[in-house]
Amino acid sequence: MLQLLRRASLLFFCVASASFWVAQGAAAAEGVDEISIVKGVGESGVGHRAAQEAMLRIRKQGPSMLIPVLESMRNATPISKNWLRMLAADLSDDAPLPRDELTLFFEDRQQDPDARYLVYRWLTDSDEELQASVLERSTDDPSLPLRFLANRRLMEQAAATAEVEKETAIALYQRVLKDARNPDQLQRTVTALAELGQTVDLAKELGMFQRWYLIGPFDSTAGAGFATPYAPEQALLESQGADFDPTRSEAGKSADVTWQIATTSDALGSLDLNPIFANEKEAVVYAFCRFTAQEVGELEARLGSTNGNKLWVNGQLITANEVYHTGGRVDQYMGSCAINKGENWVLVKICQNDQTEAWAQEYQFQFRITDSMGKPIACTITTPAEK
Amino acid sequence: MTKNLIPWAVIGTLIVAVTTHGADNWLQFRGPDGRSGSTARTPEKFGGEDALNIAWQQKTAGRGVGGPLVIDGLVVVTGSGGEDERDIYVEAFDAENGVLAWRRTAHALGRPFTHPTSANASPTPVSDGERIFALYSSCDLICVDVQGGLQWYRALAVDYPKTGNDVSMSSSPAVIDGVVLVQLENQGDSYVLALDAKTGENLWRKDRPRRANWASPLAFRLPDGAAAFAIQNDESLQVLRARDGEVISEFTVAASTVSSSVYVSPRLYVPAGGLTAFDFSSERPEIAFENSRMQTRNASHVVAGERIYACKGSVLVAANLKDGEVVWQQRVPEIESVWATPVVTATGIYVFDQNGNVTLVRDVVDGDQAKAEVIGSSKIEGPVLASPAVSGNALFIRTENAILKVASPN
Repeated sequence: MLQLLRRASLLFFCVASASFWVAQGAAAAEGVDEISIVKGVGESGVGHRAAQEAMLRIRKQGPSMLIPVLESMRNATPISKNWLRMLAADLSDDAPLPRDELTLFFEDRQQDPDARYLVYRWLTDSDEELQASVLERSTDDPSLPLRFLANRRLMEQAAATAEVEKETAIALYQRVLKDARNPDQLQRTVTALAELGQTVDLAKELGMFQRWYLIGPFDSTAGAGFATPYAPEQALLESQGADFDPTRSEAGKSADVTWQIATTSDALGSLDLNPIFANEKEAVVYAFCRFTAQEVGELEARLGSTNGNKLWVNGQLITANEVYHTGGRVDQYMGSCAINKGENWVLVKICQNDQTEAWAQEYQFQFRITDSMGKPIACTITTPAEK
Repeated sequence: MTKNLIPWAVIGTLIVAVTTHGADNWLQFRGPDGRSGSTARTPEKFGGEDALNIAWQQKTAGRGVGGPLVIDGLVVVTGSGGEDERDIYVEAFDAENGVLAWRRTAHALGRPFTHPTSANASPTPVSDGERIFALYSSCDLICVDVQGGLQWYRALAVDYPKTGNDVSMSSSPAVIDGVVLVQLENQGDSYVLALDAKTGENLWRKDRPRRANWASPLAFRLPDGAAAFAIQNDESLQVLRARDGEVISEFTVAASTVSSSVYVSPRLYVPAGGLTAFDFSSERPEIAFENSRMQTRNASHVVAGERIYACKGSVLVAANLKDGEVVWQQRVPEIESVWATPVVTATGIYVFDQNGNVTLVRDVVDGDQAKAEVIGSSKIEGPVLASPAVSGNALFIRTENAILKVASPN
């Protein structure tokens, strides 16, 4: 009888266990389906209602959904990542943080960099010692925001030691120069190294394009030039970059204009158009060059300008910004571009408006190509050729 | 003998303002009715080296120049930090003790760049009492419930990619009758957009002139009860019906592109030509008065009782709400550059400057003569660019990197 009872108990336990795990598995599978609905949110409010309902169901499943939500950030769109970030935070509020699981998740560099950065914040926000130890080994982390914080810390350490241990400071700044991707950090690092007697060509480090063919000015009275495809733009876009004759004259704003070569030695690779075009207002200038790149495939074209601008790479419009004098900086406008083996070409259209204020006189741009992490891609300008 | 003019007058005019939500809630830029006034009795003096009357102070996750909200015992602030200030935060602290209740983080998908004195977290969030709508200069718009639960998120700079201004997009959102309005005017994609508060979906959208504008829309009810938004720029004032954006009224007027309007039924007080009051008591609204002496600089006009106040940097001007007649003008000692709209409580008018200097001015009647009385100055660790909130008998001040509660211990 006792044996029978034991068997019955064992059977009950097995059935109950199996039911539990089947239920858990089904719940997890259902949760993954629900997460994919949240990942389906798009631009302009698309998918909001379905995502809201899915989030309700995910929340009902509780904190067990935290890691699956974080894992799902891999391959999510930037918009849906923000939904998932905040959903994960909701879930993390419902129970003590599973620190061990989250630590494992963070240490896995194959996980989504943005999810890892979120986890880093949770784990270290109230633990300065842990924060320091993580940052110490994160200067080359795949997560750019984390890499930024880690290199900022290195820079602070370097600044603190610069007066007493110059060589240590130089070594720390050199490490930043190697690992940092943020242009402001690189600029400040180069300045600090210069103060320590170390000269660095920042524009070269950033991979800035420093030699261009320019033509202009064309008319942009009342801002009309931004939308007007002048002859160089038409010819280059229609011919896919083939129809480029540097000796050809075009009808400019007040006289015929021809292509001219311009170079820049600016520390950030900015080409100042004002001295070349006599501070012309209400004007359009085109910049053109051909180049080869050490890496090919889907890369990022990055333009900085405080003027209205359009950028084409190999004939593909990358960005167009009819914005004037609201601030300019390195990598202000970015977009992916296809870079080919062999020769590529880039056309930049820079427009100046009619503003007369002293702070609205800049007429400049800077350009480079990077990978998706911001690492500069070494490019060789072939046209105009180096003298 | 002098008599403080503010408390009784404020009480009289603020009764309406506290009927929708709790009296202790401060749900938007310039408070429950957008007048930046409260009946609270707040400390005359605070801060300094001995942290006088500082009930608590908490470092925020990021920098911010948008004002705090107070909702059901929580103080809500936005912030931005990290690389290029692309980390954007909404966080809530227990109003009683300052303990962090929850924090939500997102990644800015628009342009996060601003003037160094501003921040990506520059607009003041708004709440309908159930949800919080947090807008950033990068045109990211987050909606969470009061417990921090995500309701929806919009990347408006992805939907309208040319929207941005690297000085800062500082216009604060407004909400009424389930409609959230953002006014994103700049040289690129320039528009006002109404969204469904529940779902974040577009309700209606109107193109706007492609020029920078930092003024905030104002949600209010017209005398007939219709929910409306007032939007302004340097060439017009428009009153739009909330539910569909239909233009109810339009005036050609060069309004401020920084300071925002205030409504005291049936009049809309607009920072245009100094101060212009539009009377909406008839079907054809008309100008009630104009007064060029009531020019503001960066802050918006403040209303308390029968008075309207204009802050011109270090000078405070008081006028009658009824006819716009200036009754006094006072140089405010210790005060330099002012961005925060002053706040009025039963204690007086608090003027905050960018460096954390605070001067308290009282509007008093001495015999038949109205005049300003400078009560004293306080100092907190700034910078302070955000307009403070008032709840209970406390001031909640958002400094660049912290949120602090000012309240008397008793």
